[in-house]
Amino acid sequence: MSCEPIRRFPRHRRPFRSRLQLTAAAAALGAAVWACAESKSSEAPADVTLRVGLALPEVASGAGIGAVISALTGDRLVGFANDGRFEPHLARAWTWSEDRLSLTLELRRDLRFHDGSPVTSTDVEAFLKQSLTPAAGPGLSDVAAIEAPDPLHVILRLRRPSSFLLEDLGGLTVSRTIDGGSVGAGPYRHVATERSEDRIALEAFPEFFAGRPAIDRLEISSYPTVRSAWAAMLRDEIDMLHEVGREAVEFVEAESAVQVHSFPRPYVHTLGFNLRHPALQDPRVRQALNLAIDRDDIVRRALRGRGRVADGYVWPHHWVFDRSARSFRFDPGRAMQLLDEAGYRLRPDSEMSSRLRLNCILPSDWSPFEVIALVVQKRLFEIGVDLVLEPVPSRELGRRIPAGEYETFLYELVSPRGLGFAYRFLRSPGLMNSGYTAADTVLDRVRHARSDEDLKVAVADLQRVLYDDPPAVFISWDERARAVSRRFEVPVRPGVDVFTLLWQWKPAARPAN
Amino acid sequence: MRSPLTRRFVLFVATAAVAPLLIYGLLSIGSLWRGTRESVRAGNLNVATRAASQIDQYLANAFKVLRSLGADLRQTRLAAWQQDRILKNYVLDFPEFRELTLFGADGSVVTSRLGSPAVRPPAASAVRPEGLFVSPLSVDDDYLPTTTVAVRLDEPGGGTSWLVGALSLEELWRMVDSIRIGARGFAMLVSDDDRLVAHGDPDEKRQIAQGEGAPDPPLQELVRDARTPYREYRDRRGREVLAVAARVETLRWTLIVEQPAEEAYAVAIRLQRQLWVMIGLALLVTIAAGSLWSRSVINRIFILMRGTQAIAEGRMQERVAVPGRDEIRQLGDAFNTMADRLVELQENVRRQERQAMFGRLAAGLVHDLAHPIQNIGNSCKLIMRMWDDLEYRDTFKRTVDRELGVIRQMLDDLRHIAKPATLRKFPMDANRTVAEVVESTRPEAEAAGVTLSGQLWPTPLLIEGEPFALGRVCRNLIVNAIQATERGGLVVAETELVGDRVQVRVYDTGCGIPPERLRTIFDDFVTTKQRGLGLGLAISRRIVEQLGGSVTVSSELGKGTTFVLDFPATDARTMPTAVVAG
Repeated sequence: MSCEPIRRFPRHRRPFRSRLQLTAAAAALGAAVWACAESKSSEAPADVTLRVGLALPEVASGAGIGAVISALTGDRLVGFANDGRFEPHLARAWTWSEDRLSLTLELRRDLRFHDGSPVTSTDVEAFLKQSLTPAAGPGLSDVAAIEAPDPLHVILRLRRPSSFLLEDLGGLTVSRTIDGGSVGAGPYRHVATERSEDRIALEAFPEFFAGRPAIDRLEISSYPTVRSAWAAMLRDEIDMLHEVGREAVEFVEAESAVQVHSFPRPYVHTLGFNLRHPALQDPRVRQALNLAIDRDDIVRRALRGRGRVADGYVWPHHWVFDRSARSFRFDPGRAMQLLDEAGYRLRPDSEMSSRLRLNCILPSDWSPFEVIALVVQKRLFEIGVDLVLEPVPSRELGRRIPAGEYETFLYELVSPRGLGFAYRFLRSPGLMNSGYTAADTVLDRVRHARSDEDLKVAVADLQRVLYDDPPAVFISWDERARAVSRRFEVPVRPGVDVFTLLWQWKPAARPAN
Repeated sequence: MRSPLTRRFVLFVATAAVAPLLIYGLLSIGSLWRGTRESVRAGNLNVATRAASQIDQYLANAFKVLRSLGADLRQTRLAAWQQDRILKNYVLDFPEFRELTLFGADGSVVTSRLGSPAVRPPAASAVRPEGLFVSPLSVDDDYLPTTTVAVRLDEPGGGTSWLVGALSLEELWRMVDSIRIGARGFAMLVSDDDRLVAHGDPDEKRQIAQGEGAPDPPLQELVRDARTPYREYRDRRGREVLAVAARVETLRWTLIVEQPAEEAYAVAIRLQRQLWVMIGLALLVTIAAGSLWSRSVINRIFILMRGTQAIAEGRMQERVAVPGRDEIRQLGDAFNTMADRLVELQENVRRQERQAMFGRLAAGLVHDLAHPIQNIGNSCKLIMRMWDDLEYRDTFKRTVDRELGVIRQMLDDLRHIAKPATLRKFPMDANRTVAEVVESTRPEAEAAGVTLSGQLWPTPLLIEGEPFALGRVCRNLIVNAIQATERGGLVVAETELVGDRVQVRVYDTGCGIPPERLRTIFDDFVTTKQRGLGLGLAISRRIVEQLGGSVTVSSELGKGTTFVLDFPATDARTMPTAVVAG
């Protein structure tokens, strides 16, 4: 095994706010174990170190560095397969009662938190009770009681059946609160945060339930843009590029010392509508806007072919996805006809000779949306809709959307291979706060489905409603690429992000030059 | 070890066949390499020049796009939103621009791509006369090189606005990546301040982000001095590389096309290899054919040589069998004929020698036997008349006995020559034997009027010998000396101990022996006398040699002759008796 020297990281001109965010995320995770970590960090450097470069603009979504660190240091009770089904993690099995009002989780034996204490059902019970907040998700909000009858079992009793409960559990990283901080049970544990260098160090947790990771140490650095992270990889300052920019993928792929792994990302680029705008209250207008946008062109030009046309908000690989459901195809003629029918005709006397003028907010610090916005703007202009682009910082975007302070927005909505986030965004009042209510009934049916068959029928109805009365233009599913030095051997599973399998990585038997 | 003849044949084949082939091969390969080098350099330079021209064209197109956009934006009565829409359409259609911004005459942003622009209008001093601006290479926020281009737009009402674009490095990279020669020939773009802008080899792109210049010193020379637009050198990876360079005039950058020599000259290398193989095969064939041919010649010469050696060693029956029909075969036949003739001549010589010897032997016998027989015959006639004379009967008896002794001696000599007698050696006193012989031959000396003297060593001289045989030798030498000495002459027999040797010398004051006879004087049937078979000295030498000694002779005509017998002295008490076969 080789000992990689720790290189100096280049100093970037990053905003103070970003640094603050980074530090806060790490501090929350590491405060409780700081003393322990300090003693650990004074030990000799780990044998195998992976240097990871994160390109994290100041987005308000969960893709921040805190979420990345949390995913590495913590683990969940259940995980998601690419088809939306669930996989054992800390819970090795689960059982539903016949009336679907009780879920029993069976924990793995010999689970340990990073402080060495065992993970018991009591810990899980306490953690889940602590997580039962209004923001926890629709599944957890149906939980009436949580019990721990023995050290290995946890029982969740529901007020109503919920198809979102396991999904919500899969979104929670189990931790234990001690001394105002928390410790996780994931494959890596926090060692140190170097504020001046924007670098966080993690070390392998030897008592991880699946075995000690082969990579002893992670050094995670953040960069202000995807391009600057890529440049760092070019300079061999990092071993892994967390996200390869679309412009750079072909160059990185061609490099013989680097392996690139692409995977479908459960985020859909969305032009969301606020139905409080008079014109957008008419479903025909929203249908017209859907028909006016050439999604294939966007995937080709803006995503450089690294994405997939979206047929709706339901994850297309999900086992309940109805492939026979109708979807919007590019048809500007039909779009103009619908606008005419809705009374929005071309007005030659207007400033832009347009039918309709809409404002659109979009993140100013996230370049992929720029080209998408320009293409959308151009297509809508062709049918006489004037889309006025208003780039705003992601933080402001994150505030204005839930507050309903927009006419339209261009952003990505997460749909982590499940259905719960469709409920969260679209069920009124919803995270979009758009005034959209047409899918409320069917979303409730999805939420409280008692069987797989019920769920399948409800989702098909949801897809139909989202076509007939669309709340947004669901443009394209994202695709992301990770670049990793060939010095590491990376397990590959179709459709799975290799980063989530990081604990299974190991040094390559024959290091690539 | 090959024979000189074989070596000469090898040298002959090498000189006659190999050397011309090698010279031809070297000249051909030299010519091939010169031609290939020129051709490949010209070809690669052509590619580099065209690629540089493409990059120039790329930049020219960028200016065209800017001018075209400028023309669109300057249309009269365009609203701001219309200008904005036009600019954004250009952004979508021309991805080589990372940024496009229109600055008004007062320097304010009229319209831009999205968000705040990162470019600025150029300083007036840096603008070319035609209103174009290309910034020197700079490093952007991502530590990657970038460049900015701008066109000046003259407003109808006076004032100057600027349309500024930032060229996307990735688009330039794609262009450079598309320039390939063979499978391993890549292009790289180096700025005038020796900074790497693009590299077609995916694994070398990191040098750009590391802010490096042209990777090898010869390439840096190419950037600085493009008068000789090619270099051949060994790069950092230890490969022999051919690099050619062409100028990108618009930016004053240098486009370098680099290709491993192994690939660039693959055709020449392959041809050279084939040529060497062909030359090698030709050499092998030539050597094999020459070897076979030379073997057919040399082997036959060796046959002749072995025949000659056999004849020289006396094996006269050896003959040679030389295959073929050429001159060497004729030489072999001539050799056999010569050998046959030689055998024939040798037989003739032997026959003649036998006849001569027989003649000499017969004449000698007749001569030597005639006298005793005559004496016996005369004595027989007298005995019949003088039977009653008792004194005469004694005389008769002595005469017959003497003559019979002579005849017996003659017959003994002949028998000794045919079959030498076996001698039994034992310690004996040479002095005593010599003294006895001197005494026994004194009457004969007195009869011949010759003084015979015996000068003996004062002490006994013991040798390993046989007294009768040594006496016979001494008698023969003394009698011969008496017979060779005139009346009044002297014959001396003397003995002497010389170191550990015993010498017996017999010398006389006779007529001497001619030098030409001295060499053969010990041979059979050689004599200087009128009588005798000429066997006496031959027998004497054989006896002396049988006794372990040697005999030498020296003579001077008119003065005399000396014979010296030389024997090793011995100690009588320790020497065992030995038998010496004759």
